[in-house]
Amino acid sequence: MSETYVTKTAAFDVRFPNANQTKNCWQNYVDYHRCHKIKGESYEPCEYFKRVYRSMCPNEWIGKWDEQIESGTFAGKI
Amino acid sequence: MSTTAHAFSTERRLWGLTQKSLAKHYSIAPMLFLGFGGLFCGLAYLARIAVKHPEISWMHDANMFPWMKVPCNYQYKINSGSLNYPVMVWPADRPRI
Repeated sequence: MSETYVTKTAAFDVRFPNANQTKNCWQNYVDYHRCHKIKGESYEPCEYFKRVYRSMCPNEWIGKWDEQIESGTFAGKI
Repeated sequence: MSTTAHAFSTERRLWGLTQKSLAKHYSIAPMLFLGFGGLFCGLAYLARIAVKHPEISWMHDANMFPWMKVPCNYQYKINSGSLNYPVMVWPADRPRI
């Protein structure tokens, strides 16, 4: 049987109404890690932020920020 | 007031901007209206951005993340197109942190 895929992208965010979505990407990335820090490592709904930043952010940035988090040099406050 | 015709006299600098000099040539009034109107519109646009944009903070140390204080249905743009702002809520699966 064929599976049906539900495809959707990040919802409209009123905090970032213009074409420049850089802060949207950054904020969701930071919120994902803050969510895990606040709610615990295995809290499933945190994946919402992960889906948003995976849609929004260029993959180079995600890779760079992941490395920075591992090495402890990430600039955002988590 | 001096009535000499040297290049930087007050009369020449304000030509077209005083009622007396404009009265002789009313046909430049639309140009002045559009020119100053456009200048005003540009400055008003900049002022609007400075005051209403969600990413702008006037006091950086006190307000580092101004976009976090914005409600869920905040309308920044004047023309909202097909978006219905009053009924906007956060998506149901977004955790509240």
